[in-house]
Amino acid sequence: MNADRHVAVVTPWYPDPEVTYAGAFVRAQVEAVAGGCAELDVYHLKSWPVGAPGAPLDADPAVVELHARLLARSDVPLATAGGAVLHRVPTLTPRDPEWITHSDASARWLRAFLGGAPLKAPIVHAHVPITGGWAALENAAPGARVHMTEHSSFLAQLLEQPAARARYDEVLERADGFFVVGEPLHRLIAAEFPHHAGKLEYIANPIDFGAPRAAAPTALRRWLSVAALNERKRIDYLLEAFRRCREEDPGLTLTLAGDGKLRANLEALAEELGLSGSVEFLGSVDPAEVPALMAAHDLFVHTSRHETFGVVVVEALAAGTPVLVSRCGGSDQVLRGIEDAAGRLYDVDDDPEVLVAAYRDLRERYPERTNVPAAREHLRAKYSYETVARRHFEVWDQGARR
Amino acid sequence: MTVLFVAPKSAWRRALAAETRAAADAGHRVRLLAEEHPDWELTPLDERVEVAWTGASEIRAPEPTFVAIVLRRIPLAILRRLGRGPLRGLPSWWRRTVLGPITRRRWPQTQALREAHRRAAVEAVLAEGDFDWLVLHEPQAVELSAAALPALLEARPDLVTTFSFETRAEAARA
Repeated sequence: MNADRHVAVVTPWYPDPEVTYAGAFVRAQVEAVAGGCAELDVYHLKSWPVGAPGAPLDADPAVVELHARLLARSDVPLATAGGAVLHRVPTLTPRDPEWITHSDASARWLRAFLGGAPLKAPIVHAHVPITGGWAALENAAPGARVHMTEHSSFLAQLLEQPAARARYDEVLERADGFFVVGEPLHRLIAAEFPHHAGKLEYIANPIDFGAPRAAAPTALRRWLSVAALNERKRIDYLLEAFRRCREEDPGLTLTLAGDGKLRANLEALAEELGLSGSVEFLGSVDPAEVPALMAAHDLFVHTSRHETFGVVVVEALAAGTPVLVSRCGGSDQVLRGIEDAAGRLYDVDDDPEVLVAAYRDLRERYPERTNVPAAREHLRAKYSYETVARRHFEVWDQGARR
Repeated sequence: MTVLFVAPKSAWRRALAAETRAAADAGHRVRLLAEEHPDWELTPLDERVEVAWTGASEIRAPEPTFVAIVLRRIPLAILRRLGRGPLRGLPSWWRRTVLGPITRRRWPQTQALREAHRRAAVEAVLAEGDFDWLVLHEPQAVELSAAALPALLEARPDLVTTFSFETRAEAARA
C-alpha cells in the first residue's frame, strides 16, 4: 500500500442491487487498485430521470431543491470491492437525449453531494468523460490531477450533438490523463479531435485470471454466449448459424447468458428454428458467476457487430475456454498475435455461413493446432489485476511527481 | 429502527426485494410503499416486509358513456352473436381496430390519474410518521414527496434518509 495514494473514482456506471453487471469493469478496476491505495472512494453518479419528456431539469424547482437537500444529508459510506468506500449519488437528469444536460447534471449533483466542497483526493480517476469526467473536473480540488477512461460504445452518436462535442473537447483539454480501453475508441477520438490525439493512451480493464478450468474441453460442443440481447450483439445471427452447425452435429448446445429487449423475440426465433431443446436462455448473470459459466462450456462464441474492448473474450480465455469471435473492433486488438492459439476470428458479415465456416475450421484444428494455455498466459501478462493495477499506479504516481 | 422504503413506481423490484430483506435481516422493522406488478412474482418480497400497495396500476381514466354504450357494449353484443364459425374473430377485430385507438387516446389521462394517486399514497405514508429511517428508492420517490417531505425534514432533523439499504463500510470493516 502506498500511504500517499488517496484516490477518488467518479463513475456513472457501477454495479448495484438492481443491475449487478452494470459497470462491473469499474468495480474490477477498484478491486485491482484498492490494495495499493491508502484511501479509495467511489462516487457512483447513477442517472435518475425525472420530469416530463423534454422538460428541463429545473421545471419543478421543489424537486430540485429537495434532492439537493437530501444529497447533503444522505451520505452513507458503503462497502465495496477491495475495502474501498462507495458513495451512491443519484443524479437527477431530465428525460431528454441531449448529453450536455446529463453532463451538467452529473457535475451539479456531485457538487451538491459534497456540500460545495471539492473532492478531497489529490488523484481523481473518472469513467465516461462526458458525465463522470466532467463531474470530476468540476469538483476536483485545486492542484488535484484528474485522469479519465473512455469505454462508451455510444461515443460516435454523442459527438453528433454540437454542445456535447464542444464539452468533450473541453474535457480532453483539461484532463491530466485521458485513456481508452481499445483501438476503436482511440481511432474515433483521434479522428474527431486530432489536436488531442497525442494525449490519448491505452489502459485495460482488469480481468480475473484466478480460476482456470480444471481440464481443457475435449470437443467444442457446448457453446456459450455472454451478451446483452440487443441488435448490436446479433444473437439472431448466432441462432441461425448454430442451427446450421447443429444439422451436422445434433449434440451441440447453446447457452445464452444475458438479457435485453429482444429476449421474447429471440426465444420465439429459437422455437421457430426448432432449437427449443438445445438453446437455453439464462437471463442476466452476476459477474461473479461468469468464470464458472465459461469453465462449464467448451466454446465461447461472440457475434457482436461492434465492441470498444472485449472483456468477455478475455474472460473466456482466462477460464481456459477457446473462443470463436467476430472482428468487431476491440476483440481484434485483444487477440492480435494469438488468433490461432486462442481459437478463431471471423469477419462481421450478415451471412451466417461465415460463422459456420469459421466453426468448422476451428473444430478441425482443435485441440492440436490451437494453444489456449499459451493464449491465456499472453493475455494474463496484459490484463491481469496485477498488471492493470501497476499501470494505474504508474499513471497516478507520475502525475503526482510532476 | 423502523425503515420505510418509498418506491411508488417500484421501478427497481430486484433491488427492492434484496434491500428490504437485508434491512429485515439487520433486525429492523421494514415497511414498503410499492406498486403492484406481475413481475413481483419473479422477485418476491420477504414475508417480514409490511407492504402498502399504491393500487395505482388499477386506475384507468373513465370511458365516456357514449363510447361505453354505443361503441363498446352494443356492437360487441351484436358481433358476439354474429361471430360464430368463420366470423368468430369479429369481436377481437372490433376491440383492436375501433376500441384500441380510443383507449390509447385516454392513456395520458390514465397516467395523470395514476400519478396523482401515487402522490397521495406517498404523502399519506409520510404523514403517518411511523418510521425512523426513510429510503427514497427511486426518482419518483423524490418527485412525489417534494411537497410533503421538506416540512417533515424540518420537524425531524434526526430522521435518517438514504437512497438505498446496503452494507455500510464501517460494518464491513468490523
